[in-house]
Amino acid sequence: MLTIYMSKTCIPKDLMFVTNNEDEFDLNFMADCSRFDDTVKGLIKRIDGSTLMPDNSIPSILTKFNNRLDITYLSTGCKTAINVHLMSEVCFSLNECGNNAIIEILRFNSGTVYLDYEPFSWDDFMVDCLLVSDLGRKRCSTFSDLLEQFKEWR
Amino acid sequence: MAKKIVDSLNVNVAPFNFNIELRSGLVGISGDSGVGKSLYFDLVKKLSSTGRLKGVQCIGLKNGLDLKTNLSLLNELLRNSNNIILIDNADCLITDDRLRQKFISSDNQFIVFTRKPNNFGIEFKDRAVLEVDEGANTSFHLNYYNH
Repeated sequence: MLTIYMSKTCIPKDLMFVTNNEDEFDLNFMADCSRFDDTVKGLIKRIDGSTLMPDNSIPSILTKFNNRLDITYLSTGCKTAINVHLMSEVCFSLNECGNNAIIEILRFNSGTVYLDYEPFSWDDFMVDCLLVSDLGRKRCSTFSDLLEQFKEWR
Repeated sequence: MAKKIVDSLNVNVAPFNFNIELRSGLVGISGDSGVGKSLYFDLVKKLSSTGRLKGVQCIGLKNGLDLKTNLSLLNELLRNSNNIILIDNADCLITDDRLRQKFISSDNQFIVFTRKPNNFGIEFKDRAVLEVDEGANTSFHLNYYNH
């Protein structure tokens, strides 16, 4: 289940809260992407349109512009999605994510995030989210459920 | 209010072409992750730092930094006039009244990268999404909300 905190005051004091997702990603994965699984490869493909290169010495990507770059050049939204996927014990702010990255993260069935503005999607889809605000907690199973509750508590 | 100095800030660095129309002195840019916002910001920054773009300054604010540090970075830039100033990740400053006053009284043109332009709190009628040109993947333009 993905836990979504709608305000900073809801985040438990003993939970690590990260707002600088770029640096957190670079510290953890710049030199070692051995934990990157098929989910991560899919996130890189869908969010940034890039392909993770199968070279273990220097983690790198082939971008949609057909140039090879190291993984620090991934977008902030993509890095955040990977952080949330691989570090479910940490709460990550989604404030620097584009909407496409947020929608990808909302499809996760684990992880912890802080989100204080409404995401957008033309389509409804299944989610497994616990929405936590100062006004209450609610488990949601579809994006439309989540959005409706989000609007009510905003 | 921030003033309009140039009508566009185009960048052509092979293979990329950014055709960025600027409708006013304060334009807010948003868009999906990975669409090219940081690429545009980084190219402008490199062109500026190597002297190929004159009168342009770039500042990338950090969510991890405290407000005081971000403000002092920005204050340095706002001492100038008649510059084009690009601010990446401006969301961390949107709630600060002092910054709004700085903008209003400033004699510069601003391009602001923000996720939540509705919440910026100052006059922000020119908002746009960065998009890839149809049929191409290395050419970009701004699609304004108010056509």
